[in-house]
Amino acid sequence: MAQIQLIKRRMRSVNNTRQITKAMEMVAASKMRRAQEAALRSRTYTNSAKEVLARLNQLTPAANYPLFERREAVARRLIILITSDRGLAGAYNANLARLFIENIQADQARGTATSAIVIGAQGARLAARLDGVDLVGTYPDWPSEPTAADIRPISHTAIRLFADRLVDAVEVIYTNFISTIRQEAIFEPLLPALLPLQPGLEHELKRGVMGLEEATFEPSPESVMKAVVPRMIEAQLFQATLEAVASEQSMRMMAMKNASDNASELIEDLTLTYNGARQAGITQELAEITAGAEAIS
Amino acid sequence: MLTFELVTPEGVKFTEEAYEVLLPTPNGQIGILPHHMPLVTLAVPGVIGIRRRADDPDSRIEHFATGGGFVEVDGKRLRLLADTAEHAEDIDELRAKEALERAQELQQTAEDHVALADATALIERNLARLKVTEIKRRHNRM
Repeated sequence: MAQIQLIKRRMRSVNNTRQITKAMEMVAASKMRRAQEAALRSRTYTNSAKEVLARLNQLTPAANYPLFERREAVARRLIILITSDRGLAGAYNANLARLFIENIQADQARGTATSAIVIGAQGARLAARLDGVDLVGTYPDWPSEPTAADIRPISHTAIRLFADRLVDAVEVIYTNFISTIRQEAIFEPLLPALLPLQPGLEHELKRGVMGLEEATFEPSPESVMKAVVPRMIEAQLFQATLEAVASEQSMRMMAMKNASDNASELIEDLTLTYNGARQAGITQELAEITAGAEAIS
Repeated sequence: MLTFELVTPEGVKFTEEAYEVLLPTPNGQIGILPHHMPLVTLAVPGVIGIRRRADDPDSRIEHFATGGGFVEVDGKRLRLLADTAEHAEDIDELRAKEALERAQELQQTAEDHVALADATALIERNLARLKVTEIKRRHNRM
């Protein structure tokens, strides 16, 4: 009898857990959808900025600008690590941590110093524990729907550090959203800036589809270039945070789905055991009754 | 007619036909009409005005507050890549005023030139917001 009570209690507790993981799965799914939409919306801006930049590059070579400067010796580099505030998202933060640590070790082997800006409480906790990382800033309490205004201070800091030669390269570690079931922690250079040369863009430029070949640049191509480049960096970083949020939510969704499935399986097993135990109890009682009846007759 | 696209990192805020678009640039407010010569220029924090039809009076002009960006014009299309853009209807005057006061405080207490520049940008953005609400009020009175 005691065993039956125990199993029953266990079933109730697993069922409660399943309700929670199920709810978390739904919440993550809806947040993921919103993050995906935001990533899509920001793409127009990024692409337009790239178009203008590619066009400008023909008038005033971008390579002459400080933010495009490729430095021979990298004495110090800045890594912007984008993690999440909360756990329970499968291997999301673990994958990022592994990539981050690998990079720090590679830097140490090369004799390069590492600075870091960390987004998300999970990454901040990790970076504070690591030796050999100069933590420039941490951004815990990261919103689940970041806006360009949230990212601006980070991109400004990165650009200033690079322009002032305090760091010689800036890279971002974030999770790229490939599909709902596939996300990958990746490592992407941010500064020195890269010229955007998407396939087909050069061809379009030659045909003049964009109609800017006779455009006047006011006040001058140089000043427009100076304004465009930081915005493109910002857009790239913003895109990375949106991808990261979409990845985080979809990994959380998968993790919670697995947890719910496991809970269902567990309940099924427990139900079988419970029924078995109950049946055994009944059989035993019957046996006792018959034995008792035989004893008196 | 001119196709005006107002693009921000948060998405496309406006994409419709317009007759005239007024933009804040470093050289002052400029008006872009159809068949404007191809131009790429900067936009500064300020007010964007959109006149949809040639015979619309000034009171029908639609306003956005922007935090600056840059503009491409090619005669048929005008694209403004803005850091921020808010429609007049979406601006909360009270909150903009509060934000302005906070930004002014920040400017007073700024310790280095970076903080000062950030505070100044905030002030400019909120001044643009307030200007939009003021224009809206004036038109409502008329």
